[in-house]
Amino acid sequence: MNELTGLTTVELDSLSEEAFAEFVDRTAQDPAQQEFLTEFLREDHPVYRERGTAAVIRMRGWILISLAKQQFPPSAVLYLLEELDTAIHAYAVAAAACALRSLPKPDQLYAPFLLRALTNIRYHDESVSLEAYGEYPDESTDTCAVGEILKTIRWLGPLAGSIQSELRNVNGLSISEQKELDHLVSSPQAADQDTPPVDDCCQLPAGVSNLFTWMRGTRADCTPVEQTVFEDQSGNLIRYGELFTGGPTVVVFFYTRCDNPLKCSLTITKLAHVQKELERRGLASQIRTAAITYDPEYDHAQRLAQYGKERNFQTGAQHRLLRTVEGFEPIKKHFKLGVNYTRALVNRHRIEVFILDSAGAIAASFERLRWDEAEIVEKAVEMLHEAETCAKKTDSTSVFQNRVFSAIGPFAALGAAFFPKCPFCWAAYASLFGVVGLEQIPFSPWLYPVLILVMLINLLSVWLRCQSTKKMYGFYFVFAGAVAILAGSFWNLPLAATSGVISTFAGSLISALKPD
Amino acid sequence: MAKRKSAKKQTVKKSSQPSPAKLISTVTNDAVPEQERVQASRGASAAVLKDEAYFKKTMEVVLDQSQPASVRHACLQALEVASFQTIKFEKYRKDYILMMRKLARDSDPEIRFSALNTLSCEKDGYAQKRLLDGLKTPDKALVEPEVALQLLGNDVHAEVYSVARELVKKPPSEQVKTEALKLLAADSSASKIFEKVLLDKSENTENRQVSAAALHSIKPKSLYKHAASIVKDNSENDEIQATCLTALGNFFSDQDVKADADLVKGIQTLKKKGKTQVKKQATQFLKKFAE
Amino acid sequence: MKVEFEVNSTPNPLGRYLTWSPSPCRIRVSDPSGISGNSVNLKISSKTAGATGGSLVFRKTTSGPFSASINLTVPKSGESVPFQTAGKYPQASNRDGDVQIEAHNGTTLVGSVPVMVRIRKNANELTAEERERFLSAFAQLNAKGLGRFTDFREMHTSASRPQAHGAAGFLPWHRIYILDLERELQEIDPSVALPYWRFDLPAPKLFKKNYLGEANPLTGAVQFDSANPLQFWTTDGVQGFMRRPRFNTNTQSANVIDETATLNLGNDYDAFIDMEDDPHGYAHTSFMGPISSVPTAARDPLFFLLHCNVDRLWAKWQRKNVRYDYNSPQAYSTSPQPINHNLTDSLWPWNGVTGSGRPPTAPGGALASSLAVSAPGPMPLVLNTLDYQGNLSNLDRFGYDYDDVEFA
Repeated sequence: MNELTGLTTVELDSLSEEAFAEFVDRTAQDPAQQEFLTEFLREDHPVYRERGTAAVIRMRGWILISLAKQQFPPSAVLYLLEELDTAIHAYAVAAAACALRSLPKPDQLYAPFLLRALTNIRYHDESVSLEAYGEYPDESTDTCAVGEILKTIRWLGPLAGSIQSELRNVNGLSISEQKELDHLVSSPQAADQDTPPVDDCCQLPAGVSNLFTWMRGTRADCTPVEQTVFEDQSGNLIRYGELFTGGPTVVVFFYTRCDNPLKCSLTITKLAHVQKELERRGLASQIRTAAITYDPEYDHAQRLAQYGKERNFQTGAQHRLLRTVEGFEPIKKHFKLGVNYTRALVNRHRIEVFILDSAGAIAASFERLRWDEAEIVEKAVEMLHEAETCAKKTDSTSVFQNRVFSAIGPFAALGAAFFPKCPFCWAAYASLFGVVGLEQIPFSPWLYPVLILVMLINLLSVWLRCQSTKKMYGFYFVFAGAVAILAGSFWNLPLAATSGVISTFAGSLISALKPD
Repeated sequence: MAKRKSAKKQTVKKSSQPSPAKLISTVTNDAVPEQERVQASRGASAAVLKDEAYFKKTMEVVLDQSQPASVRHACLQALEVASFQTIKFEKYRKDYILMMRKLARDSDPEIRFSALNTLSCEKDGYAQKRLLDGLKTPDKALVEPEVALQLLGNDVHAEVYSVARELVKKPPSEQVKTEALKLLAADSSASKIFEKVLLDKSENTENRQVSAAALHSIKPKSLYKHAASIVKDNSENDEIQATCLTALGNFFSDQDVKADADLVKGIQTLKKKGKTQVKKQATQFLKKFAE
Repeated sequence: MKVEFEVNSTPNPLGRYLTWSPSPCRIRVSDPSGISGNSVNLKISSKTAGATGGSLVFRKTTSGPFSASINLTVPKSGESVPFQTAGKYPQASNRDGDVQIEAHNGTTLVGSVPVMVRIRKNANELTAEERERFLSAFAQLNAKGLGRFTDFREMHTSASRPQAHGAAGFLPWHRIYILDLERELQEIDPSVALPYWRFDLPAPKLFKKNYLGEANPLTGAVQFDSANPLQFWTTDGVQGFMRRPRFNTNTQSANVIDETATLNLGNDYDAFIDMEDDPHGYAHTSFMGPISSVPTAARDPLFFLLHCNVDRLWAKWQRKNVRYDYNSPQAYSTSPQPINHNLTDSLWPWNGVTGSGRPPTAPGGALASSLAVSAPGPMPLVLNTLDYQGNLSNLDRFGYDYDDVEFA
């Protein structure tokens, strides 16, 4: 069952667009349900499965328009900005620009998004209908993407000052739009507010920046996908666990048949910029870059190689374009990817970039909006420093542990002397701590006979003690522990060795306890 | 056509061309003879870019179903030509798309087709919806299903794959099946369908050839395997053997082919026993890979 | 005694391709045995294999007339002696190496090198062998990786369309675009030159199943022979394409103004650029199908042959009016143009520049290189595109020519 709608996946697949629109209309009327409706803007929502891209645009656009009829929920602002930033369809852009005006107050940070939307859509604009679901007008509606963008710029008023100089250079629009634009840029208010551009794609209004899937500071370890096999652009096969460990990685998702250059093509282009920056800083061999396709069945190695080459993506052992060999689902689930499909074809996806730490765990994500290469590099470098610090800590910790434990062994043994229960107990304690101390000494093959001898002494002493108390289970523990330690040491099974030490300790302790 | 040619010859120097105003006035004037209006429409593609009013007037002629078909066709082509000049055409685009949506329901089949073609190339949601409706409900069809499938193929992200699968299963005609298969070639999860069609000797040859090409795109190793077995199979028909030889000769590497002694042997047999075209291709193949 | 040749300043056989433009060559003695003095007199001439192959002319220096042969004095020491050669207009090669540069000492042949006068020809007049080589290379290129359409699609989206259409840069941009394609074809088969569709004449051979395909009269779907590799043509995975002609492809030309009318549009570039409308736009819309629309035109391979002819018409106009010098106000538009259309603009996407008035991405990478020539470099400017034959500076030649456009 689908937790959001109460519909099964099959029912969602067969849900007609009309029924969907009715559901959206009904839900949007209730302010308490707005957050719930916002969930439907997730690209991976099952309601978009098996639908064409045009249908997905209609459905998502309608949610934006319906939400805007009340006050637009802050949690959905990111979706509006995403459409303005990257949409290439007039309806999506018009709906987003229109919905932005339903926010309680304008913010100057919206201005660069509106400017980008104007640039993206101006040569591909069309009349749209925002009144009825799925309506494609064949008469002029007085509404189009550029028209809605201009209205929203007007709504921003003086807060659009940062984009005035760019707007002044826009020409070639239709007579009425050009008139509206000229009016916007020539108003005294606009001229007064001519401020430096705020064209920072990563600068977001308050609250919006907290809406990403992976919260900073949390990690998703890679165990579920460790065994996933990838093929790279040269046809090499490699597992996730081998590929993404031992240093941080910048991972992006894309597919070669994406027809929105502001998404996949730009993502790979920017990843190439990231590579250049890493190279400039001498980090190209320490920080990996990887681009994984959403469309692994179509994007064969040769296709990946060409797509990367044509966008200046440098390939090598540390820098690869990848496709999963057997199914994409585990990766999709692990990264919580914002992608949906009709058959094997992607029908909608968001922009998504991840930084993996040295253990291959997801440490950060950048989604939806155009990301900034410098920020990605900084985050990856942060991960690299974290790895180096950890490595140093691990090194110093293990040296410390070795020294301390090898010292503790004799001291503990001496300490045990302060608690003599009897001569047997003394022997039992001494041998136990001897074993523990020995474990911590750096590897020396000649110590094995010593280890065996000490364990035999321990076994003998515990056996004698158990005989005297007539309770043999302590001996059984120590015997099992000795076998486990030996097996663990010979066949390099750390878990067995550890269990052996614990069992020996427990058995020795039990045997040392004062009988009732 | 001959008359058009003679009109062309008159167009010698730019200075000899009538003014845009004159051209548009001729095109839109019902009193002017039909052929003269058609000839004047050639200049309309450039003229409409000079003035929004010219564009609107030309559009009105196209939309007016009472106008002579030849004039409407010529004016429509003039507007299509103008749309190539992206920068100058930007301000007209919205009206152009609206006009095309209206024309998609025009009574003139050529105009209807032309409009749907333009819209589908622009990945227009309206056209896709109407074309899909027509495939699902033939009564609503604006064009024949085999044409609708081709038009929908202009957008690889169109919602057509389920319908195409159905049409492959239960095709109303062989042409529809062929076009549905061509479209399904974009769906990499459909490789089993293509393997089945390619290997089915009772299947229409064109569909088998389409399946070979589809496999080449989505599962090239599978095509190699099946093509190699088809060229060695004496009971196969010449056409499909020729298609397979074309694939093997053009798209596979020396390593693939030279390592396959059986294949080379099979093609040597084909060179001796095959019919003319296959023989020629077998000779070329062996020249490239085995001689 | 033996001599060695170097063609187009490279010993690499992939550099041995000539056009009507002069190519720099060198000859040196590689085996001096039998030479009595310090040098040897050699006659340099060409030998054509068969009756219809390419033919060459020569000259000793970088200026002056060409002749069928020249005499050179070549030092015994092995030092190279430069000379120039060019294809003898209009005798182009039909196949690779069908003409040789030969060196004779008296009547003794002492060295030779096979070359090709590689010229873009009328598609309707290619030999069967030329046609098959072209189709094979074209189909292989499209099947390699993603094919041509992926980048084209991106170059023709909303933000990118204005880079190449509707302003003065239309012709320079497309000149580089098809040169890039041609060089990629030549990486597969160096003997291939892109043919042109002469749209103002009937081209019945071109629209046949053994060439660019024949439209099914009922469906418009283009069909191919089983031996034609274009049957494997896919774009974004969709197989094949539609091309419904608005004229009779067997007997008529497309609905365009003819060549004379095109060349007479005016002797000023600003007048000639109207050819973007007619014949260019009318050639595109002479069919209904993807080729008649900007975002999808390259789904049909005919698109590339159409643009080859558009470029040829510009080349003919340049020759007729001597318009190779970008300093000449009549050779290119002098009025301010949108970005990517001004003379000093570097051409997107080969320049790799994104943002600030350019599209956000620059797909395709730098312009493919050629071993025969160095121009116009990986990131050409608009102004580099005018002197494509190297009329003003031999180093600026692009390494292609048309069968009916002589070197000026």
